[in-house]
Amino acid sequence: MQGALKNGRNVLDWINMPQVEFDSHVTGIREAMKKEMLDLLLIYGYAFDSYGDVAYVTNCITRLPRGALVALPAKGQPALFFDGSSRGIPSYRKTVSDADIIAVSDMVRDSLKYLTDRNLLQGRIGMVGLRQLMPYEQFKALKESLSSCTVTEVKSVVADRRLLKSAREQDEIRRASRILHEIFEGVREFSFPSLNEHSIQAFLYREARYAGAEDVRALVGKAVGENWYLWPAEKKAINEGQTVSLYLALEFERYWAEAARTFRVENGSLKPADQVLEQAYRESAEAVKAGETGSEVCGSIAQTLKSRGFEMLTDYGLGYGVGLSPEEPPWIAEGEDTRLIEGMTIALHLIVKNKDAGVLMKGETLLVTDAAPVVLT
Amino acid sequence: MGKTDRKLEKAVKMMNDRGLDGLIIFSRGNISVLGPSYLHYFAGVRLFGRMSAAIVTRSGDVALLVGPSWDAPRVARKTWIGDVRGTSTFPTDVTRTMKELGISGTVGLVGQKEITEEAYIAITSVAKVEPAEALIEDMAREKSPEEIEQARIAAKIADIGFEAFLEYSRPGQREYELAAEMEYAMRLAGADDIFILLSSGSHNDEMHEPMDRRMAKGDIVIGEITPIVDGLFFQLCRTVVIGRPEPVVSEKYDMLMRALNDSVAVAKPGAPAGVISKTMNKVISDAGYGKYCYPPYMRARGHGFGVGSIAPGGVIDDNTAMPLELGQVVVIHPNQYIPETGYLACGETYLVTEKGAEKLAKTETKLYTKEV
Repeated sequence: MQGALKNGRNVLDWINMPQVEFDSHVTGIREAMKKEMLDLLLIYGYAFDSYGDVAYVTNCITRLPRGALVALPAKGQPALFFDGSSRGIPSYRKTVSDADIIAVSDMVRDSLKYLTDRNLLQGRIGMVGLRQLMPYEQFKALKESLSSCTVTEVKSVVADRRLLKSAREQDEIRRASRILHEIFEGVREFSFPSLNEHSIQAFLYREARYAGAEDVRALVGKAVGENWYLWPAEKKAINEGQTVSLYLALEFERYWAEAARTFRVENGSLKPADQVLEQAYRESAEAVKAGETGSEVCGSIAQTLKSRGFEMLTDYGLGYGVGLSPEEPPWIAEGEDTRLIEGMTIALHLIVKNKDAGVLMKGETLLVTDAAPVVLT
Repeated sequence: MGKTDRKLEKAVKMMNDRGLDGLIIFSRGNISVLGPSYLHYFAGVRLFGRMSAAIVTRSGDVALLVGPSWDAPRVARKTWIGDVRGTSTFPTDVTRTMKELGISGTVGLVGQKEITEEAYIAITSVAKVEPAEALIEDMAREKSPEEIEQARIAAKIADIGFEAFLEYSRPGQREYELAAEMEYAMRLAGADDIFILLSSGSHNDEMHEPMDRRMAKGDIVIGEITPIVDGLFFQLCRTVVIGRPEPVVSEKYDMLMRALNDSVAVAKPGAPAGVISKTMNKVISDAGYGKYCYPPYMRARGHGFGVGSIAPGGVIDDNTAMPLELGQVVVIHPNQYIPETGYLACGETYLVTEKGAEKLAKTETKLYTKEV
């Protein structure tokens, strides 16, 4: 569902995310680096969904299918390398926290030259995301160039810190969630020029962009014969009496939230159709609390929905963490043993079926607490 | 035989000519304004997942692995490939499918610049790989009438995007609100994705993603208006002045228009694409801005658009030797930084025809002014 470009508002709001926030991220990572005895950490991000680790340190996002690399030494300023020309540096300066910003045409060659010139390729070097995200041709060249160094993969150095959201990060997710809430409130009042998947999608995008969303993902869920599918909008009409689910995820100031609602078409407008699922959703979401594992949450939800007479459709998953990535740990799935902690943010979407209501989808972004979660959307 | 079967027929012939035992066309789910979407072209459908691939044997069997697995029904509905399989464990599934289809020896790999280690290692555990992007590029260079019609449809949508650009470039409107209206107009008109870069101010340094800035009287608003229709990008580069333009802005824009017109006049089939850049740069250099025609100020003077091939390339500069060919869709843009005015945007997308470059959009190329 990745687009061709993040077309929306691109800013670093220093009130919402002051430098001190990034400093605290860097401090946390450096403490972990110390435990791993690392002298330098290389953090890589790529394209529209996998920029989170890089943004956590610098607020930089990759706005095209290109890469960005952060070199974080044990001491001193981080360096940010982005694929692109030096003409782009002024806009990076406006949107990136305190870092040396370098445009590169060859990520491996240019970044290693910079690091060599500053004597930073010494001792023990940690890597985050390079093996998983960097195009193999580049990764192979990097590995060969670093063959004389001690290199180790340390994904958890950043990932563990990102699991738990700081107060400011929670607020950003709250802002993204509020936009979703308002869009779904607004869609019921909107008079569509013609009701079809494309016009609904266009509306969702416009409302999201106007509210400052940087990136948007929208899917339409509909029954086709005996089956139910979720897919990007197509040039298809939505008819009177038809039930349609709308999934919407958006990124606001780098942070994601998602929600889903189901509507029925009445007199050319979208009327909420998921009230019947309201109570079951609330009870299901109560399982999302500190101390539970993703697997345990899954089990509880299955039980709740069954007791309420709903069949759960699982093809589209149940939930995951949400933050600097649209989908990130912890996963709400069978076999997942990460325990939820107060301050995590979870996207939970239920797709259920019963003989009276058909297929309904409802999703919210939740803030984990010791008790019932706070619904942010 | 349908057009899609012909793609497979061509692929099999090319594989056999090159002595390849199979072909893997990999996609990471991204589309790029400056690069082809090989798997989209071959399969006839846009893939979104982080790991998808078509696996083709030299005898013409083909399977399409689709990630995420829940997207497989949509893809199956849209592609000509009969064997579509959802995958949530691509490395395992690609090796299994290659073995099942009897692929070993050497395979052509398309998507080398995207593929990550995990997928690459999985494929090379079954067969040796050779780069094979050229195989799809060669296939896709010949544009079908349907592809040319697609460019015309995209041109109409770009015109609609431009009308929104002109309407909402007004005092008090924020840059990101302007982008929202352009996107809305183009999506409503049928675009399935959008690429917008813009900037506003009295002196712009570059185009970028929209920021918070509120536009004001006297601003120069520049934009790249780029709808995407079924994987094909189409671009207009336009400049709007809010209020009466300073004479120097009009004067410099006239110079860019001359650069555009002169370079379009030489854009003919058989001519090396670099002639576009050389002609454009000569006009701008003669006006005294030679140093601003080259990095770090400017680089590409245009580029190709297409789903399977963006020939004559992602960058047209003085050195682009690849010839222009019939049916190519090419944006020609003397977008230019000028010290007195800042960055100005001026560009159109053309279809290369026997008679030369045919402008596809209907809205006029000129410096637009917005009365306030």
